[in-house]
Amino acid sequence: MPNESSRLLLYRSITALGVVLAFLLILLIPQHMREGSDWSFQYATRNFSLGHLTEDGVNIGLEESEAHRFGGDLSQYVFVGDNRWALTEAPGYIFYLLPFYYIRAPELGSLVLAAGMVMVAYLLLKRLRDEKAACVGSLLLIFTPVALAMMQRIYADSFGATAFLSMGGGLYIYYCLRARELSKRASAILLFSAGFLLAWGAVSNYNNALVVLVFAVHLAFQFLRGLMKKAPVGVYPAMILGLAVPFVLLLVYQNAVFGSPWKFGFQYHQLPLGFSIHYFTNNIKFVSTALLVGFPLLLVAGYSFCAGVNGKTKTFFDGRQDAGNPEMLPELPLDIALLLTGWAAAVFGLYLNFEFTANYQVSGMPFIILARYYLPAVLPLTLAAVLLLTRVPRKLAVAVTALSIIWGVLFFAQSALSFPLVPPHSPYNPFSSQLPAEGPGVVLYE
Amino acid sequence: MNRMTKVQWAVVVLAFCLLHLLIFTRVFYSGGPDVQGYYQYAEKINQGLVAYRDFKVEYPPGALAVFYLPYLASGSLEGYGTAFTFEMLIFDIIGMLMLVGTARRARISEWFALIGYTLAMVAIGSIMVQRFDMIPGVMTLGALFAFSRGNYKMAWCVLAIGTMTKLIPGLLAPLFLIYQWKQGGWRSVIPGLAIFAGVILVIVLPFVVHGSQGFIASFTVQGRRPLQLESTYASVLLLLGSLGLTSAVPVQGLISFDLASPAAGLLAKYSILFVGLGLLLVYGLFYRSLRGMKRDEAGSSHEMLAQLFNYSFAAIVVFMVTNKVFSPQYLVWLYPVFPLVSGRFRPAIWVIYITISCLTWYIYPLHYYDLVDTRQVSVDALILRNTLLVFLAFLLLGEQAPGTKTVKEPAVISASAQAE
Repeated sequence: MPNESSRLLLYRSITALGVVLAFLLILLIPQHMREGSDWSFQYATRNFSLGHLTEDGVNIGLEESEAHRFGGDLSQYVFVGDNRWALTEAPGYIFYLLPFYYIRAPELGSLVLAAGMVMVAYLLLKRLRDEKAACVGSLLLIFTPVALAMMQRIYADSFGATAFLSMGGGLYIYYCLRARELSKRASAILLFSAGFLLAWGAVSNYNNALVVLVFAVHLAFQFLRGLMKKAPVGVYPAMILGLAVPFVLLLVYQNAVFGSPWKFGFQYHQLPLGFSIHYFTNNIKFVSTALLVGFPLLLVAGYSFCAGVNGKTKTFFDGRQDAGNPEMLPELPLDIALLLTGWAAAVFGLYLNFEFTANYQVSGMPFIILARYYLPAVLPLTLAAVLLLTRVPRKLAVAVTALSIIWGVLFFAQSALSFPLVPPHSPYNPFSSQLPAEGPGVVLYE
Repeated sequence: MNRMTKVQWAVVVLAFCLLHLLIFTRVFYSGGPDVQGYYQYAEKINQGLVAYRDFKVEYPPGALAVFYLPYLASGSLEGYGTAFTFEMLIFDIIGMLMLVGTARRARISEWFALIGYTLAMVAIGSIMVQRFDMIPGVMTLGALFAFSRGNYKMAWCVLAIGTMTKLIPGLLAPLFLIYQWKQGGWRSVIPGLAIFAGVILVIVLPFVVHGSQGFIASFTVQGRRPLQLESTYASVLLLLGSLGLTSAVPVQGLISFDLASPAAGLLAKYSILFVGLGLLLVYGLFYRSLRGMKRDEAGSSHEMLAQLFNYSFAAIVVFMVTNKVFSPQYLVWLYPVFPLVSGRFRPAIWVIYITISCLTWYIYPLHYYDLVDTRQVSVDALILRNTLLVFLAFLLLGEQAPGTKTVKEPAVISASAQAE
């Protein structure tokens, strides 16, 4: 029987090994530039690295024709007036990627974020439950098929934006759970980091702002509760500051690119990217299977959320004790359970009304094209699933965990291998030794 | 149960019956090519032609009665379709009534049973009224119902009739045999077995006499089928195909869409071996689970019954997993027995079974040609469905027999008491 310290070492080693295996998997399986977003972000990274936040018509035309030669397109670049073309998407992830681009290792960007996301999830689950749950949760998080697939697509913003959001949200929840034990300084640092990362998640993907809003509501609630109980609330401005910095930077960027801080890229796009309740039924029809494939723990997490929040709400209103009931997430205070539910609901509620995925043309498309939008909910889903799995019979928990990991690897591999690869001679294959500016045998616009 | 409770339950069951009537007639789409085929069989029987001799049939003789019954109500195809739907509805309601009775005997909540039965029926969808597979399913439940009431002869008789409708209920025969043997020794098994064999003989004999070749062909035609597109083996090959490790191409076969792949022939040939091994495992585990239970102990009979229900469900699931053919209507075999499954994993089993049913609906009829075209989401849905089915089989077989615990616990207690 191993003692406590060797047991801790074992769980941490398993987690580290799992993360390394996931990294190897995404590095060894050939890379793809499969959608417009990959190509647009790739060109945007190059343009931003040259200090061009916008491009003129001639240059963008040359870039577009160059992308076409390798099977890509720049659908996320739009005309914003005055012979200028700009990226429709939020720029946060590109700015993050620039240092890695300069050192000619853009693939490191998502690996660093993945490591950070796993560390936060590990910390959080260790605090909520124990080291074993933290190990299982971290592995399940990183081996989610959608997470692996988007991690591999280094220029697309989905994984990056999700990682920022997850780290920020995770740190905030970690703070809430440990608030009484932390010094004022540590609390301020933690809250500032949480706020900054959360906001950077929204600055990397505009739609993540809805999740940030859920956290802002929770923060406001905590602040008011503190005031009413006459408890110290002096650390909360650190989070507000953390939230404000990225948003101010975004406003500055929007002012420079679109001519006004309040104008943003989505106002110019021509793609079917609206949201409406009318699309709900079609989304349920087209996306459900893709979601089950992309998020193997969706059913477990859904059950856990429903049973947990239902039990806690009942307890809150009629004072019933929920301790000992496996479905009621006893580790989570009601407000945190609601926060996690709100986080998942903000993502699912938004994208189940998404115009693009409700389109008949996408109904048979690979799961990654439909399910990737839901990636920002991966952390709350994993937390809910793991907290339930730690309470079911051991055999079942082991079987579900093993199945989910195998599932993750297989579906990721299937997703990665079933698309045409970037031609090996393409300068946009990030594993070619040359970055675009020095690509051999390719006429490049400079 | 007092009189008031009986009245209350009668109202509840009636409400569920009305709900099923509504769903069968207003929600489900009836008819389709299979019902048309059943109609053609019925027409031929009506013309005085003898099945297996004058026309080919790919089903056991009991199925012919199922096909002919709606023809008595209407001779037109449209009317036949409606009558067939009502035939299925009647069996569905008979199943519901038996389910309530069986659940009560096995100390399973009647509410749970009714809700589970209805949920499964909705999740499976219109195929409930487009195929006749509900009848063998309800026959299976009927045999279990009679068995749970101690009416073993009737149970064997119903099982035999069910087996002659579609062979699936026959999978339960070894379970019945083990159960009775553990309860009353070998002698108690003989009357049941004799009835089972007798009923089968009575049904089969006239057809064998009139057209033995056609009768035998009705069984061998199934055995000669290639690897069907939706089978577990095919989904593994499709997954390997999507990873570029083998080729896997759906092709139109004589009876169904099948899979052409280098390994397909071999898998189809040896699948019968996997079916046999899988079923042997189920029967072996059932025997082991009953071994730990004391025959006359109070409460033991409920546990034995619970085990019988669980392993009956497991036997059908294992057959589906290991068989080289997996048509969407196979899910219908499971739904009458599914609410009787109990144990630690019951919530998980419910969620998995309902998900499997929904995915089956998604694959057929909603996206079947996407699957034939090997479009990724449909292929993934199939892989997902079959993985969940395999997982379901593992959960069912991994369930610890309650009897093992109840026997061991007193020994542990007495040992620790002695130590003190």
